Amino acid sequence: MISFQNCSVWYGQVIGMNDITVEIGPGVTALLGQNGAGKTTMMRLITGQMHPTTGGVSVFGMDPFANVEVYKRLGYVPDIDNFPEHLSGREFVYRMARMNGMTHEGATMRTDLVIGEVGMADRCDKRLKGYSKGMRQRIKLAQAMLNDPDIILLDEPLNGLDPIGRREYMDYLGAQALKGKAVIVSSHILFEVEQMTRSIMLMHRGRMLASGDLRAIRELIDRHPHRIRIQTDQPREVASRLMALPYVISAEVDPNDIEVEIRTKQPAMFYDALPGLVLDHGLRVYGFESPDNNMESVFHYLVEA
Amino acid sequence: MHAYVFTSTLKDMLRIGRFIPWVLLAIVLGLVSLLWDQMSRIPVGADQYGMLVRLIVYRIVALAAAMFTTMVISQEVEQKTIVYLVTRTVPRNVILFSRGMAAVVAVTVMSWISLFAVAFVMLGPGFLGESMVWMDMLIMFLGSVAYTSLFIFVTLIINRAMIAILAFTFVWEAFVPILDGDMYLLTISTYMSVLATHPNKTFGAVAAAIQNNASAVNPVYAWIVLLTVGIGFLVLGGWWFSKNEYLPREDAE
Repeated sequence: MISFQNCSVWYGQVIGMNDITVEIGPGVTALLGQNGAGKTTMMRLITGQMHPTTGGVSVFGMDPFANVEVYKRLGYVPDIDNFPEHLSGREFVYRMARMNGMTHEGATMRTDLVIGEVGMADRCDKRLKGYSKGMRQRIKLAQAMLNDPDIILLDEPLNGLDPIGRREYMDYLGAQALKGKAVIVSSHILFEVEQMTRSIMLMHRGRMLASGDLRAIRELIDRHPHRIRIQTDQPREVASRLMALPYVISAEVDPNDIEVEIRTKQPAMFYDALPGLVLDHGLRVYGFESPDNNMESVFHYLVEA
Repeated sequence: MHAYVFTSTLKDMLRIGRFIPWVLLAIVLGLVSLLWDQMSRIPVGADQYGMLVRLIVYRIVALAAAMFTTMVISQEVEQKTIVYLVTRTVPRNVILFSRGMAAVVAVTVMSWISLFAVAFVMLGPGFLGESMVWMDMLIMFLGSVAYTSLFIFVTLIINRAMIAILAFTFVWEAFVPILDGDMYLLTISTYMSVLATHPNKTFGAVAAAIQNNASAVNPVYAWIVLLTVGIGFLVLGGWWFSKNEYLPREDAE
């Protein structure tokens, strides 16, 4: 659906996007990176607000810049929270519907529908200037869904939403992805998108650090030690047994004597060997987890690399 | 033109809060006209009406155009709502043309209020029976088209264009029409004065200079110039808006 070919964007002397080649298809894809990573630049290229300095972008096989054929099939939730504040939420969404070429009747019907879908039916007649950040996020989503788009782009969409709102928002996006739509969500908060998808693109200072499934990306960084925490009431004995394994680099006992953290470059082999070790030596292991499966860790590994 | 873009923009531009300053300005102009009448030994009438219109009321067109053209695109950029305009299924040049025409209507309406105030004082309650008032309304409409199109184009190519537009309105348009030489041909107000059908009688050096320069221009030429500037810059603006990036202000810098 979306294709970047050797795409670079320069803002004067500053690079906003550096030679990115990537394809994005249906499903939820998370665009991750810190502020200034190039996420919004990427969104603006897809939505045809900007030209790349070099390289090309295509959406549905077309150049998206100012292309109304692309906009007919694309919904965009920008990161800005500015609106024509004198309008109500319903008036704003209706206005966007009319500017998408709908008739009065069509726009009215569609406005009611999308406002209901985003959970704003009971609050949409208030003026936008009185809206909370979470309400603004919902109204932005409503206007993006007017055309029932095939591609939905959301720039930092979960900012300002309460936990229940986040859950509803994420469920809504998940349902859209199940319909075969491409949902692209940008965020700098990793745990947010972790709950939505495992398909990620990691950006840093305009570069694409990695893209694909989170686990596949994790394999890319396996040259960095992988940490695994094992909960046990025999931490020292477990640590000494684990240190005997050739692929365990180090083992560190928790000061409270309730867990051991080991570091390995071959986590798959370690996970294979662990059950046998526990059974053979009668070790009491109550659980284990890998903090490195958390996106925050993956992100830091890649950035530091 | 996209009818909904035009009507929704016009509705925004003619909100009551925006109307009030122009009504107040018209009241002030009416009072100035009254004061003029009190201080002048010349009887109030068509002569003084014509001079006040050329000296002041035509300037209101430029001032209104300066205010309303910023609402077409540049205010959307400043307020960061431009993203909602440029990602719709309406082509950019149609958006610009529709919003530009809404600005023309708003500028015309706001400047007519001042015209009516001056005409009411100078010509009496039956001022709409005077053909020169109708001609002034037409000229001010043409002036609105020319100023609005020019200023829209300026807002498209210059960030924070208001300073340049106000300088053009209050310096260039105020002083160049009274200069010797041919520079007055580069002002819009000159061509508006050319088309005016007021009595030729003038009072004071400024009015005489404007009248003198205006009388040197063929009225047909004035029609052509005003229409060309109006249509030409609107078409140019539509093309420019379609080809260039318009991002929320903080990102555009």
